[in-house]
Amino acid sequence: MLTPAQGALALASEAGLLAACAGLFRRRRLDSCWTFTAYLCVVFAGEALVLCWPARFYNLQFWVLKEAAYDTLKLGIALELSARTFQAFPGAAAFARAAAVAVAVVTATVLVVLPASPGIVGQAAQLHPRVLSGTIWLMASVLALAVWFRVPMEPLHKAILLGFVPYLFIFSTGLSLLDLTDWGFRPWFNRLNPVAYFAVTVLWAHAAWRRREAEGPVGQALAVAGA
Amino acid sequence: MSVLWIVAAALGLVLFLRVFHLHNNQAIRRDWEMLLTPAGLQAYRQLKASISLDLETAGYSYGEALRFRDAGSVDDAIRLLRSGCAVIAQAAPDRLRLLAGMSVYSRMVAAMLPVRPLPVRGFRLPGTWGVAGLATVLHHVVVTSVEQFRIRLWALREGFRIVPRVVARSTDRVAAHRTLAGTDWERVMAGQADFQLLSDESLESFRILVTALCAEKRELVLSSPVV
Repeated sequence: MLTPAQGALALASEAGLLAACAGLFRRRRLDSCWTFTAYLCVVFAGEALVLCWPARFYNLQFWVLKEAAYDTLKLGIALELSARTFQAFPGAAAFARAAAVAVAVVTATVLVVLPASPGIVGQAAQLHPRVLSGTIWLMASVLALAVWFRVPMEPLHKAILLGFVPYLFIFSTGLSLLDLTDWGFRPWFNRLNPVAYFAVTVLWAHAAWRRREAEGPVGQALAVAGA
Repeated sequence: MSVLWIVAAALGLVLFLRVFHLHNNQAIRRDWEMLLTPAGLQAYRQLKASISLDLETAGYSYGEALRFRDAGSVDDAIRLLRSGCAVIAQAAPDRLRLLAGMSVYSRMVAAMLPVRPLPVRGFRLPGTWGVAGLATVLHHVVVTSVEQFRIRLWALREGFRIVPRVVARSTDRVAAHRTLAGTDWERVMAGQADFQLLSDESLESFRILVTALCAEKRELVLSSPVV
């Protein structure tokens, strides 16, 4: 069962997600990154199910199911941000595609080749961190290429990455520690993870509500070309 | 095995935080707008004026040094050789910085007009001649004009490293032996000629880069439905 503290933090995260969605709608940024908007909605719905019907949805099976959906959307966000950032720069876009393919190939190879414990526990604590590491590298590669090619990024896109990468590190490390400690780390994980996620939702809500900066003609052209 | 995913995620996080610190949207946009507007043309004119001044100063010093040498005035000739050498020594770091900056900006462009190779026969010092020759060979090996442009920049940078060294060494030898003829005099004059050629080619490279960036801007603006 959810403890009162866990419930309160989950509610706070739901409020953060809702605020981020409202900010995107109010500032007309829902289309700034479609997969991110979808991610916010899916996470909100997934966590709402757990909060409203814990007896039915607070279990490992549902957790694995919803995290698989979240992971797919996170990968989608990384790919969409890469495509949008380098859309106006064909030379840089070719490198970004190559980096995405390289990360995808390594992640897929690791998932298929390296052994994992069978069953749902193995999926949760062993396969999951592999996918999350791949996502972290994919997101880091987008920003690294933006630095290398001196390509500007929309502040919201940077905030999305800034929220995801440290959080995914915490989440992925927590899952790995679950596996290492034979789930002995679980009480700590259940405390730490919601706090970290709440902080991320606050960051996203702030970025979503922030007004667009005044941009010069090139900035506007880049923003529209990449939008 | 779980430790491996913690390390992989941590390395991804470190890379991300490092590049996040380096990615400065404002500076990148400022660079783009500076280069893609009339300010770019202004920068080209200022650079041309600065390079012309250096070349005129060095040319005058070496011309006068030859005149005094022919008149048999060793001390005056050496003094003027040293003066010319100082001009080259002071200007070379600026050229290296300019070429390094151009190398960074060249990553912003997807395509360039065909770049001509450096005029190998125009170089007189064996070192610069060798570098220009190697660059010409590589020029025909690589595929894209952007790669050819980067090879050109590399050769110019190497040239600007070689010339001040050779000129300083030969000037010192002329001063030590107080000679009025010989290979050291020839080297100094060859170095001055190479410095002029390298400077002219640097200016030409700058013009090619600005043209490519302007073309890139036109494509961006054309791809934008609101501009």
